[in-house]
Amino acid sequence: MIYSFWIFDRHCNCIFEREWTLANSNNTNAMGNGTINSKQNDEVGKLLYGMIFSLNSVTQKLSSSLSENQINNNIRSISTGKFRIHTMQTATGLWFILVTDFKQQNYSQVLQYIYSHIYVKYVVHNLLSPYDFALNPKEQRGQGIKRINNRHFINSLEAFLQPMLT
Amino acid sequence: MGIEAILIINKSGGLIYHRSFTSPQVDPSNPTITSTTKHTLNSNDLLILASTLHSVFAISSQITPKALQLSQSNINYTIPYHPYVGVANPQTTPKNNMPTKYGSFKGDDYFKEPFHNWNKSGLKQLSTDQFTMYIYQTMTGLKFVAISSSVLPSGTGSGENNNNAGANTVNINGSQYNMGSQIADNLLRKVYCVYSDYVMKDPFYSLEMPIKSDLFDDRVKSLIDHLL
Amino acid sequence: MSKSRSSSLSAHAAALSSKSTANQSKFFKTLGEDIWKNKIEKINAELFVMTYGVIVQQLCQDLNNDYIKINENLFSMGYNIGVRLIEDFLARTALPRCPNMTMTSEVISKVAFKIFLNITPQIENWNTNRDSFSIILTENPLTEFVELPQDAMKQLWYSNIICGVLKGALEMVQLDCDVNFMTDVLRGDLTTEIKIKLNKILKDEIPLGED
Repeated sequence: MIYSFWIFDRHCNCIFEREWTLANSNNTNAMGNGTINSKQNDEVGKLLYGMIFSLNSVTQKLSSSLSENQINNNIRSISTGKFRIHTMQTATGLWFILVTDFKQQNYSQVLQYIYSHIYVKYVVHNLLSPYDFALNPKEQRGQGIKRINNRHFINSLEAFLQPMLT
Repeated sequence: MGIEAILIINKSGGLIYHRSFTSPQVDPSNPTITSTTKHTLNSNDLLILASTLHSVFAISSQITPKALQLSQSNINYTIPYHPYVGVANPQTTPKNNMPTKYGSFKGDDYFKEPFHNWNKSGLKQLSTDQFTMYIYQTMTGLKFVAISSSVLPSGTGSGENNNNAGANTVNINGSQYNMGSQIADNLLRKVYCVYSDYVMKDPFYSLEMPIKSDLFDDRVKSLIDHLL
Repeated sequence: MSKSRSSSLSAHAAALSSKSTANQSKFFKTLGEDIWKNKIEKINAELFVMTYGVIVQQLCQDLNNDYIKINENLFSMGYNIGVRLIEDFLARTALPRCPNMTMTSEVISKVAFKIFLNITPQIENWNTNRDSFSIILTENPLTEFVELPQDAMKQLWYSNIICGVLKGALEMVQLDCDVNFMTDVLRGDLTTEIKIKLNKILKDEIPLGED
């Protein structure tokens, strides 16, 4: 059961957010429920990003100090008593985050697929869609409000995640 | 599962105990330089780690997804008992070497039944590329943190049987936690039992202050040594 | 092995989540007895009783029989014990948080008193709000052989340390309570009664993550 999906960029802004609110087993077409890029999840988004950012910087410090093996110590998943957060950070500073229940241990392949086949295809390769969602160069960190509204992106994301929702 | 460090964080987020269990490693390509322990942190960094964990712990309860808030959650908060985690296993130790009590806990193990998990919506487990961190919070607000070198597998792990101790998702009567998290909770509750003995019953220990007891250190070390 | 494990698990889970108070009561009783019988070390009761007696007597000497001060001293000694004893209790039993004072009173009388003093006091005198009750100690191991002198009889609460222990322990689980003696057999009353009244739940101190 997937509860929500978020993308944050390197300016600490949320550029995409999708939440599935109803765990309705009768509703085979679960695409109707939930919200996309809704304003009321702004707060939650900021808290989520803040939490992941601070945990990540702390664990980076804990990483191996042997200079030959520079394996980056990236966070893969965070569990609480009620839900699990899976994260993936790309080299360009993008964060892909999935909030799910406990059924699966590892969603890194899912996140990798979303990045390489959906995000890259519909946002990066689309020359008419901005790759950097800051409105202007003077924008402060965390202040941006521009979101991904690309129809193709949203539809292919839904189609991909649909079988994993329940 | 190799435990690398144990930390104890008090109610206000201050670090009162930390102990690392890895030995110094020699860098194979440059044997003249000995690197210090793998996860080397000076005491300042550890304090920052402790307070970050404490504050993140609080935030995580506010990020509960709407679906969980709206629906009836039937999550089972009982942690099953794993026998003899961190203590001598009677099947492998000869009879006269078996201890008859651990501190004030009589019997061959600190406790023998499944127990309630007080930590419902706070942070429980943090997995990274190099280690996994487990947190056990008591009802009085004390947090016990274990950093283990076992790493969750990078493939999809649903239903697969891996040899990695941290990987198996065991469904016991609806409990959703994986094996690694259950073993860590068992172990950390034993550290809590040792704490309630050697720290609480020491009349010269002031509450919420750093723990400087050698007896406590020895007991924690023996718990870790007996772990597999 | 797995059968007994799953049955004990289901018994445990059933008792913890059971709405029926009779079931819970039974569970607490058996838990307390099991821990008392099998899991803790015991010492000679006479040594314990004499040690406590000598503490009270030394306090009388040091404070020149100022019984008000002695009561306060015993209370603060008990408080210091209580804030530490609760960790031992929680580490040993791992009981979930009590949702109301009714369950709290059950846990105190059937589990806590049983484990530490091997007595099971009665709970009575509930008020209308269900947040205040009395513990009636039918037997008090501290006072079996004690007789108070005439001037102490009016002012000294001999077992005041127990009140301190209860207050300290409850405060560490975020329940701010008033705990004091109402009557004492040593003073010539019919029963030994301790009153516990809940002032408030220290909501901001509840560890986060517990809802």
